[in-house]
Amino acid sequence: MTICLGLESTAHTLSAGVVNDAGRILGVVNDTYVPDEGGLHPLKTSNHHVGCFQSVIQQALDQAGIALKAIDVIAFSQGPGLGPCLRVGANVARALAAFLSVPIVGVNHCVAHVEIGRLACKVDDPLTLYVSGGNTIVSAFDCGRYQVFGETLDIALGNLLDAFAREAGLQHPGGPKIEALARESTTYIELPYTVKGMDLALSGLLTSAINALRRHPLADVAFSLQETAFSMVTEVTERALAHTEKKDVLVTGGVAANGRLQEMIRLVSEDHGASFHAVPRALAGDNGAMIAWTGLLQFKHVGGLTMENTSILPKWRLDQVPITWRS
Amino acid sequence: MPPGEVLRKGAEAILVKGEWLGREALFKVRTRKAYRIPQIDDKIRAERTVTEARILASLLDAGIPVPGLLDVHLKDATIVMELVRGARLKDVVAPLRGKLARIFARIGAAVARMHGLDIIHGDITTSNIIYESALDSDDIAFRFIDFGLARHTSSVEDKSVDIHLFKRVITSTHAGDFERLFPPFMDGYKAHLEQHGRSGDFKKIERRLEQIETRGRYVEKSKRK
Repeated sequence: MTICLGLESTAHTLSAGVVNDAGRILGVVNDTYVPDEGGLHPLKTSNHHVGCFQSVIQQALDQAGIALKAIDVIAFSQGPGLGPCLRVGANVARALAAFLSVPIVGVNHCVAHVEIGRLACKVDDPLTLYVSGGNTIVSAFDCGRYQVFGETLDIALGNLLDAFAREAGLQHPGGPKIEALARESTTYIELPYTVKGMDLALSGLLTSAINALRRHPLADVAFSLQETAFSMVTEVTERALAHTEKKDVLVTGGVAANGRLQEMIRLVSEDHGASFHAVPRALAGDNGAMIAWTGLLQFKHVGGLTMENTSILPKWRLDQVPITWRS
Repeated sequence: MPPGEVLRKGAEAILVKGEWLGREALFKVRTRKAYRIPQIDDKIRAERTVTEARILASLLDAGIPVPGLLDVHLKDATIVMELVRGARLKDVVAPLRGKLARIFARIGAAVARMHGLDIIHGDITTSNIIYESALDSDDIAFRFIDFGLARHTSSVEDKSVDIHLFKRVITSTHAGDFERLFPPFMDGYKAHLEQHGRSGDFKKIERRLEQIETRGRYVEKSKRK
């Protein structure tokens, strides 16, 4: 039995997860930085991570009921993400690996979102919609990689919701509040709908929605924003589904928790004879368990990294990673 | 829904083989999307039906290989067009291996002509090109289909993105055949422009393509200017 400790620190969440090679999640603990105002400041966020990593790791180990020395492999999110935040996870991982004399594995954060979804939903070969604060990607496995079939050309879906929520004076996290407000309205305000091939653009929609706040009730704008943005994301997912003809659709990432988005993706999935899966809420957002599990898969197939190869990769794309554990 | 045999259920439309004035024809019906509220859905379907019909007409005028346009029913978001017989290029890439370079050069030249009319397809994929010739024949005939995202534009940016998206599709769908497909496509595109004394336009597109690729959110620094 191999046990892996995974550290996640790409953005606002510092998380530790303990997972064994049977795919059992033994412990996972998150600590999320919430700025008093504005968006994420990378340095302030990394300071938060520095302040809490020790207790987060200890709590995860306690949850798993094991001691630190029982860890066989250390995995960390190597990218993509905010440089200062990634550096915290990488440094802690390097120190722990050296201290315990165990292998260290660098994991791609986006790959980890896909892998934890496959594990948690018991689905082998899905088309994946990964929607979070930093990413909006439709991908599927082909030719040894998670190929990207569609993605945002500017900002991410979660970023759109967060930025709109801030402008509307809603407290963090904005997504659930926008969802609740949207349920109170059925009045649609016309907003720009931008799908380019299999890609989409959301920044024009954000500007228009913020401007609409001056003339319309918040609930109407929230409803229109959700309907427009989710329709675009769903259309792109449907295009990729028609193209790849996959039999399963998996929704993962922080925004996967949105009920309206799930409803839309479920509808297109059923329309194309595919089964719909949403990653359980606890594992949908950034977490250390997904890093630990993906780290284990990687470790079993290609082994660990040498220290000089543990540099962070803030711009690491999902489709740059060879997926050696799948054929 | 017109009576007839449903040939394919695409991402945004259903294709029905039906009858139009006593001849076989293809009905492209932009069906309602249950996931979209009617306010968005009706608008998008009507807009795309009109755009697609107008663009098909312009391309036909210019002799670019697309299905003939027969009729438009705006109320049901339906376009009636000629029934093109053949296989999706995506499905015959393997058996065509010996002449892929020639085929993709011809496709490149046709896209260059389309762009010369200031029209972009918006979703060039190997699913959206129907290969009409027999697989063992020396002829090469194909037609572009699905102009649902096509539009009029004169911008170098839009034309370059049109090519970039096609490159992305080849990378994701035909990763193993990339070298046999994309370079010949670009050669054909370039040759067409050069023959028409517009090699300057090609250089602009080539430069913009490089820019678009390095613009991607996660491109390694080494590739960035």
